Amino acid sequence: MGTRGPGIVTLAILRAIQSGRRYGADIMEATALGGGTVYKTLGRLERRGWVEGAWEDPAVAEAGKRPRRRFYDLTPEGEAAAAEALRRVVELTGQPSTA
Amino acid sequence: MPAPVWPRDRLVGLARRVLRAAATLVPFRRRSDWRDEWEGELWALHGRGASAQHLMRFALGGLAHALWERRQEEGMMLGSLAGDTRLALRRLARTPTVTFVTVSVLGLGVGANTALFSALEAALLGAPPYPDADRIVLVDMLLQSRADAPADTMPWSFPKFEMARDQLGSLDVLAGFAPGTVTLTGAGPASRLAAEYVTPTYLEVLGARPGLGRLLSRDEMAPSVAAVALLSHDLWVSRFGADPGVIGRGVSLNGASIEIVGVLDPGFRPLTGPVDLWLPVSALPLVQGPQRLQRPWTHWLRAVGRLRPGVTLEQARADAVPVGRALTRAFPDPDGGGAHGVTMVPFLQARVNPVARAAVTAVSAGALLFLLIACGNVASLLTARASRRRSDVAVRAALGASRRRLVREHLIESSVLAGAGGVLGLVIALGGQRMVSAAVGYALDTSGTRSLQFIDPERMGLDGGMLLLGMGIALATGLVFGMLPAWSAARVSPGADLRASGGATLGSRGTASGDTGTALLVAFQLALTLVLLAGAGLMGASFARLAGVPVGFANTRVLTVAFDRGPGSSPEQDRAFMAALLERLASLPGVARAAGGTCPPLAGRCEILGLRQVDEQPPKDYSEMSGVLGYTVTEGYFETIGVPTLEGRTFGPVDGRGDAPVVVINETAARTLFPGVSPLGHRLSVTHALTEDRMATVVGVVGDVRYAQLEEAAMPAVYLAERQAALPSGTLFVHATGDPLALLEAVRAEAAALDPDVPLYGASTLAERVAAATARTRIILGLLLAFAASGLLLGALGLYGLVSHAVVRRTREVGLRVALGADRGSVVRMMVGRPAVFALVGAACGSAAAAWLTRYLEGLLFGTTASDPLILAGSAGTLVLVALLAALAPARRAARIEPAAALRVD
Repeated sequence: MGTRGPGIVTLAILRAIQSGRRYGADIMEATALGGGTVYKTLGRLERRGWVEGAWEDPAVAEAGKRPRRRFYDLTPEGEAAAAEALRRVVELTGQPSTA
Repeated sequence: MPAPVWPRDRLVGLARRVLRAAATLVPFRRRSDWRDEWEGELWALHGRGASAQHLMRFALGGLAHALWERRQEEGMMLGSLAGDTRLALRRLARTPTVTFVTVSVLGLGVGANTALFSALEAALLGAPPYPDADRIVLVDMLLQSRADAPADTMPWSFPKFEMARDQLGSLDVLAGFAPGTVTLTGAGPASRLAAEYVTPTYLEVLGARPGLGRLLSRDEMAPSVAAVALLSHDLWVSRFGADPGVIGRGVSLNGASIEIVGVLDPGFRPLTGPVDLWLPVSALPLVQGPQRLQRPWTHWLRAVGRLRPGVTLEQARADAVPVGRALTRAFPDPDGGGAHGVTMVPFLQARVNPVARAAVTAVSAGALLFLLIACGNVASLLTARASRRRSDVAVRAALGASRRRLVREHLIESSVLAGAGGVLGLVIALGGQRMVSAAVGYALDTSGTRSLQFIDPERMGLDGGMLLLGMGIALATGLVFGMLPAWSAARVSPGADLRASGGATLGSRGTASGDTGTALLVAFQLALTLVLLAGAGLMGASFARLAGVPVGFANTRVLTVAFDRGPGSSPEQDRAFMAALLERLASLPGVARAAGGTCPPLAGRCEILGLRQVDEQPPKDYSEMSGVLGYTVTEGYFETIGVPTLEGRTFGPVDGRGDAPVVVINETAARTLFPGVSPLGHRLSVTHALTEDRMATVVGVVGDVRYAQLEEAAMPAVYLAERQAALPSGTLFVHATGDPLALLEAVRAEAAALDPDVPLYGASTLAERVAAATARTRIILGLLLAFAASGLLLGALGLYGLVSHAVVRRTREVGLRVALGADRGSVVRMMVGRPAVFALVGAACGSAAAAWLTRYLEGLLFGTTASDPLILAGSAGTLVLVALLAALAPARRAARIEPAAALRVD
């Protein structure tokens, strides 16, 4: 990732979260990326402050007798970075990303 | 939170197992969250009917992520090196004693070794500062005085040297060199300079480069060429203010005008010690008179050559045999003596005399042994500390600290310890540099011997390679012994160790295996210590005997200073100068008495005279009595330095130039020349230019004075009266009522008032000479003793620690035994038994090693032999005694354990 703009995988994940796919499994499904790749990227994005993870209300999980889940949201910086990255993709390709 | 109810699905179960296994890779603090998150998503995937393939791919993704998490953590750990170092420092500060001892012991070991091995490197191991040093050979002459006598190695006379030079075909060049002194007058006060008389090729063989001007050219061998000289860089700076205009300038050396043609590069090391200037041998007739170059039986010139490429030493030696025969034919011995030969010794082998080599090696070996003891000590300290920390480590391991993490912490801690030890070592090495230089200076001081002195202790620096090696050894010790315990501690199952820390019970060995390691380390230290003790014991015995050798003179508060009137004055002028000077000196305040003589005691044999005749016959055994020490002394000489008159009288006013020739002899001469009779009234003659070999009557016998080294037996000496000979050069002796050196300036002033061109140099006192005579033995003794004492202390501390640790560990066992009726004595025996066995094993191994190693000291010993069983037994006894005392102290503590209290221990 570095100081270059986000790569295509990152962009795909940012877009997935933006479009409301907030759980790991959902993001994998939306991006067709493997779990390892998705979580590594989420880890990096969290550390970079673009994405914020949080646990769902335990009561909800308890009610469903299932393990709790963790969801991710874009921070304002993440929103701005996603918008900027998308602008560059459009600039380069002439059309908006389809992800 | 109630546990979720997982579906009974085989695939989900398998995926969960994979995730759980993967979770163990995740750093502990994140592990639980990580598992929850991945299981939550697994549940969700399964809930929406993901395929089997999809589920397994998901689980494997988890594994990949777990691995990534782990790598991230390790990367962060690297980044937190500074933090870990701070942690290590805090932990080291918690055990200040162990830290302090470890760092000091390592520092001392590294420092002593760095300093001493730098000296060893400079003296014996390192490449000499000459090009192709492996092809340089020292070429000396062999001369047999009789057909059945062994040949003596000696310098060349100039005619013989020229012949050898022309005939030795296996050498590229053969160059001559000889040390000498000259008096520089003119520019400033007269000064005495160290010179080297050389053939021009000498500078070529040794690869000298001019810093200014030029070297000597080969045609400057011819005496007809204008006399020239080269200056040393130091002399050029100190005497000529580094003036480049000095080239081409004339100076006055011994009254002769000599032109300076060059200044040598400051890095050049002459073979005969510090030299101020170089003169071609062709300048000798000008500065010293013509005889030296002409006389075939005046042997004074040493030679150094370079083997031709491809010629081996053996070939060169074989080629030299006919040259020896040719010399014998060309120079028949006027005394009917024997054959000539040529000997070649590789420079690398000849560069340091055997005594100096043994001295430097002994001290360096001592330092190395000490370093090994220090390492053993540090190892046992660290092992002991690690075993104390085992429960600590076990708790952390149980809480999830990885082995890697634990090892890493110990690694950093050990590095900090070892690094601090290394830095301290550097400081000690730098601080000890002066002392070591002085010690090596003494060790290499070969005055009176024919050894080379091209090493300048003043310029000996710390050797970078040696420093690195020392630091490396310190680091390796710190690391290896700091790490091993951490590694094994991290391996051990936490439960077992936590249980073990509760205190061993009866019959349980607990962590005794760790103690065996420590005990072996202690035995190792004790063994090495014994070698040092034995070495120090031998040197101590030598020193005691050497210090007990009577020097032969009672007054030590005597200033000795050399003077030289040069070749220009007549014997009459010399005698007048001496008489006037002694009169002036005697009247100085603070002077009890003053006299003159050929040379001071303990300075090496300075003049050996041939004994021509005793009474009516030549001396009985020519080979043994061919030479006696010959000294020309003024009236009052014996009284000035305090030599007892045993028989007859010393020189007085009646022994003038016109009176009957007289001599005084020493006790040894009286015993050997006139066995069983009083020598008084007997007559003898010695070869001496100024007395024309006249027969002289023995008028007195004085005590033996040690003129050469203390280690050498006293030689027969014949004293000539100065007023019947003359002292154009020699030594002034001034017996002071106060500090002798305080008189030096006054003595100089008096001499200058009589003749401003007479240099006074080499001032010293007899007390200093006495001290210097035992200095080498004293310094070696001091160093070995310091190493041995430190080693003994460390070994004792190690043993003390070992027993103390065992006492703490076995408190409950001891309590039980005492409760069951064991008496105090048996408790002490139980605690001391094992350590005592190890101490004895150490002492036994040490005795064997000492018996083998101390023979390398042989050349340095005086009045004792390396295999002296008394000293070895004494050293072993001391070691065992100290070891037992060290073990007894904590064992007696064990014997005082109250059973009730002991059984309450956690």
